[in-house]
Amino acid sequence: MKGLAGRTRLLVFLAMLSMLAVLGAAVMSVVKVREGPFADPRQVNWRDSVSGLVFGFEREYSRFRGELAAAARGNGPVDLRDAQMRYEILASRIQLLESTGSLDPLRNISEYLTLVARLRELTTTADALFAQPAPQRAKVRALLALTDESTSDVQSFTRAATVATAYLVEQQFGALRQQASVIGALAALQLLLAAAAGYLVWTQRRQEAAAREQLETLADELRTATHAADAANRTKSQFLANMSHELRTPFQGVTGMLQLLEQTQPTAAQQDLIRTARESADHLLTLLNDVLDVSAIEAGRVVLEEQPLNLHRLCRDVRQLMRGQAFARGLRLELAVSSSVPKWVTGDATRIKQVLFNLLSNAIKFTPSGVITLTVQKAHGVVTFQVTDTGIGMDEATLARLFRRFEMGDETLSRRFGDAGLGLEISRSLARMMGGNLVAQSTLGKGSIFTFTANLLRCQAPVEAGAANALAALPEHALDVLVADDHPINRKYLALVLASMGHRYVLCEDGLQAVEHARTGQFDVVLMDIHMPGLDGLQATEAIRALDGPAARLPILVLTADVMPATRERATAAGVTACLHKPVQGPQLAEALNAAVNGPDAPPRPGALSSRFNALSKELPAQALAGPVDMFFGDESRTLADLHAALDAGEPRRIALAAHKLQGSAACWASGAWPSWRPTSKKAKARGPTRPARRIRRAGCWTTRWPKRAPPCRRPDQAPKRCPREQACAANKLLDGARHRLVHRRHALQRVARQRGVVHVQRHVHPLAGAGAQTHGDRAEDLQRLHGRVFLRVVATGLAQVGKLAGHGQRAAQADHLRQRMGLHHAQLFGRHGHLHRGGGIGAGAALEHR
Amino acid sequence: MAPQFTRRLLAGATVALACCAALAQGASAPRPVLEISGKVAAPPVQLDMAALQRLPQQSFKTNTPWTREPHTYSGPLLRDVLALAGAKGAVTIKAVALNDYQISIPAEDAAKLDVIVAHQIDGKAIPVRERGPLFVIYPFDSAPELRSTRYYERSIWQLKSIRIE
Repeated sequence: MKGLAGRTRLLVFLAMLSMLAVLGAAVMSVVKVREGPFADPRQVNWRDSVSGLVFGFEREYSRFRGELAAAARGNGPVDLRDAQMRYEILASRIQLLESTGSLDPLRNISEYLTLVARLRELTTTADALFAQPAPQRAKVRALLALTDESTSDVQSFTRAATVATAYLVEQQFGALRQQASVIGALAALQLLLAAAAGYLVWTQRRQEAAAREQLETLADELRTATHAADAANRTKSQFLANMSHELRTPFQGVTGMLQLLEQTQPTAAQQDLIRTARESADHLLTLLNDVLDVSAIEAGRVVLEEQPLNLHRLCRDVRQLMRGQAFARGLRLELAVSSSVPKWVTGDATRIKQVLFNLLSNAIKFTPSGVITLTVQKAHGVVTFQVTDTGIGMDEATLARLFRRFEMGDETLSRRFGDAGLGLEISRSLARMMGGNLVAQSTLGKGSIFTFTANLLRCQAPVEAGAANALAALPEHALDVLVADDHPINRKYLALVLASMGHRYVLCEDGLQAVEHARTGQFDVVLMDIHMPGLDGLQATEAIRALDGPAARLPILVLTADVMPATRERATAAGVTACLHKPVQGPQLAEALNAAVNGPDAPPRPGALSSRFNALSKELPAQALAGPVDMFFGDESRTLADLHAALDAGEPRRIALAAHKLQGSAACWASGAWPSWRPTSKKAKARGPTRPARRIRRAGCWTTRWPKRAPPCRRPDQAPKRCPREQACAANKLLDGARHRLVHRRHALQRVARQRGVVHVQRHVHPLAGAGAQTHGDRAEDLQRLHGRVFLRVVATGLAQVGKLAGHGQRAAQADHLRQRMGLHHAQLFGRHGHLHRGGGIGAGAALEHR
Repeated sequence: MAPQFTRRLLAGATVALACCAALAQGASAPRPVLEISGKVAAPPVQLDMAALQRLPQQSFKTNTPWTREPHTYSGPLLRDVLALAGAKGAVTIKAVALNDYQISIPAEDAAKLDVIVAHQIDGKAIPVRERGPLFVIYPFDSAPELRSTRYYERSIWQLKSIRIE
């Protein structure tokens, strides 16, 4: 405060000084303006010439007197010529004295006035004298006397003029001195001002420096505090990661065992208990995931994917999945996707689904009756998802607390519905990461509206999206899997899951064993836990990568409960193909295995298919194939016909597309999405033809409307096989053949099945079929279904390879080879004698694949 | 030898004196007003008023420090007068007045400025009493830099003779 007052005083003082300086400068200017005439060089010159004029006059006066005196002397005739000349010159000086402006300041002094009077008298006398042609000497003498008399006046004037000039000069000097002193004062004032300004700047600098120092200290403190907070946060994240690991390992055991328990034919009461336990486990998993999500989002570790996704399909999927829940509570779930919403956008499908699931499940939870609507719109580049319900709604206070962590909208509700309250926070964070937001509106008792916006950019549909999806959805063919996990429960669980997928496996307990197996055995893929005694998963991976031969290129999937990105980075650095999070669910594992084996980096496996095909056809009861295979080839969507047409046309791209489509279809049938079919059941016979058989028959009827042989194309320039009629003919042939063979094969299949017997089949099929077959081994029907599925998987894989070959730019020349292969596949399926297995064609097929 | 030489010298001097007297007394002979000596073709050159009047005449009106009103001064250009005298390689012109006032005028003034040797003021001959008969005048009003002591002191009146150096 004191400093401030001092500064104010200083400022006032400075202002006054400045005013003074300005005033001084103004005065100086006025003086200068007033002095203007003095400064005129002409004026100065006049002044300077005063003494010259006066002395010049005096000198001429003396010279005139001298000449006159010379003329007055002597006795001869008076000669006044020289005297007259001098007189004329003197007269000019007198005239100057009287007329020159320079002498104006002297005109009032008495000496001047006396002199002028004297000179008048003198000139009058002299003019009269010089006018006479012959002047008398006496007159000359009289003039001389007059001149002598005036000499003292002339001298007095000279002295007075000198004094006056000196006085004038003195005056001028005085003015100059005055000016100089004013200028000096002004300069001093300016110096003072500059000094004061300097002082001000200095004090300001000092204050700023002090302030900066303070700020720096503060920033240091803040930095330290931030570091401490960061460290604490890191510790927390690490704790969460560790906890997640610790929690998930036993948790995997729980879920795995529950799954197994479900398959042990429990009683209805037990089933109910198991179901409840599973639901609890699922809920616990959700909570765990939520907690981990929050910590990951908080740590900025969640990175959204930017993949093309079909928004319409995504919405339909979400609705499909939530419909059950809604239905269970007697609610309607409606979906309205505006036409403005682009079909393909780039975004993170998983995260969008996560948000939508959260909003919809909330809506379902809090809506006792009515309708829940999911509306999707797009405006200004932003996609808006709106979940509207007719539920209990919220009041203002609840709405305000809604997105805050660990706070449920209503604590009583929290108890009633049970939730960690993290879902909305996660959803909002995700929405904001997508460049949008999540907001809620609600009216108590009327319902709520949650609006989730995301900045999703429209994109081109992926060129082979359909094919790619089909590939991804492809169920893996039987693989040889090496499993390394120290935990017996985990091993058991993984073994069961792999077996249920129809894969073969070898189990081992630690990294060393895993490396040894990888070195000596023939595996398609390795599944490995990270945390193992001795050599851990990552070290084992490095050891495998360091092996010689193809084993070094084995796809290695590691299992970890640790979700921290650092772990993932270390794994990638070690050479791991992919990371799987515990607890691993069947579909995830299937997908990962498929991606690892069929991925772009997967090593080529020549002959794998053929060998499996051969093994399969040896082992399988022909009967097993009848249902799904017929369904597959009896497909009236004419996909197979398309493939044939493409093969005929020799267009690799089309072949690839058709193969992928067909493969998708095969995959679909193989995955069990086909209706039950009981070939030997008497009940079924009584019911008449089963649904697929009916479909085939219907297809056959339908095709009979077409001519057996389609007429040639009307336009010869058109590719013949592209003609729809031609295609139809091909389809006709195929369908006719299929129908024809169906009848024959049924008998054959039945015969073979009887010959071999169920037990025999079971033994051989076991390694391929897995747990399901083992458990229900005595049920031939299921076995057959299973075998059919396995076979179709193989078909699908074959088709995938056809597609790949074509897709990889194989020339049209390869088309024949492909066709041949397809033909061979047909031979396998529809052998000439109605037999499926042991065909020479299979061997040939294998040979072709090796080529 | 010596008396004879002395006699001859006396005789010569008598003749020369007679000649001079005749020249001085001759009313018809024009009286020179300006003598030019120094670096000229045949020094000294005596110029009378008629010779000056025969040169191309310049005339301008100007103020001077010595008059209250501007007057019109007429006369030949100084450089024409020097040319008439046959001045060669002039660097400085030393001018002398009737009252023995002396001043040096740089030759380049004559070359670059229209300095005149005025013999008329307002169309009339200038008497000695009015600082005549010849008055060197610079065109003071034509340029401000001319209105300075340096040029005022070169503006010599009652001009009697010039010495070219």
